[in-house]
Amino acid sequence: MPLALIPVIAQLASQLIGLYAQAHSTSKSAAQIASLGPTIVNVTAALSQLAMTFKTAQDEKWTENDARWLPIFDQIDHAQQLALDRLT
Amino acid sequence: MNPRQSFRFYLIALMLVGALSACMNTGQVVKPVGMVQDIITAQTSLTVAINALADMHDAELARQEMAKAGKPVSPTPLITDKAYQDAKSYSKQASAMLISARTAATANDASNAQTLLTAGLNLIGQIALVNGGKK
Repeated sequence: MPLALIPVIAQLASQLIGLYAQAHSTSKSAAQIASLGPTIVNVTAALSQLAMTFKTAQDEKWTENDARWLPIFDQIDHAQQLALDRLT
Repeated sequence: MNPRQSFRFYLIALMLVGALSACMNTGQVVKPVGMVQDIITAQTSLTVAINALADMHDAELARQEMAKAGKPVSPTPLITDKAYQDAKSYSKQASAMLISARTAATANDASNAQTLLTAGLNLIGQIALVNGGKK
């Protein structure tokens, strides 16, 4: 288990379960509530992928300014921009 | 919560546990090592928090629409407009801070990177609180 990622996962779980509870309290449809499920799976899959990337970086001793980080930075920035674009 | 909703809730919880178990079954213990990995972890957490905020806001807009249509909904907003606007502002600030932190880290300016990372993490904590999470 990527131990240091546990707080991230815990925070995520807290947010999503809290969101579920609040969505439920507003009588949202079961389908809308269930739609949170894929979000959980997608994010945990991304965290697992991140842990594997860290493992590779550590095994291969990537430096802080290693060029191999660049495509990872691009992916992270892209995902973050998509999230920010959702904030209307 | 009716039985169908209970089932769906536990299904979601089961999916989360399953995904976590899949991580655990790799038998790997991976911790972020170095400033760049710490910042990447924070950026990932921020992206999750921003998406959760957007989900919350979408749900609130849906609640308002249902209320207008005369459907039975809770009169309590999921998120107030002020809280949403504040969290939106925190999101943009944190995003910019963490990118600056990463730039500093890759330039081997660890001190500046750490300062920016700490500030970014504090903002993520604020967003998580708005999202209904706990610090």
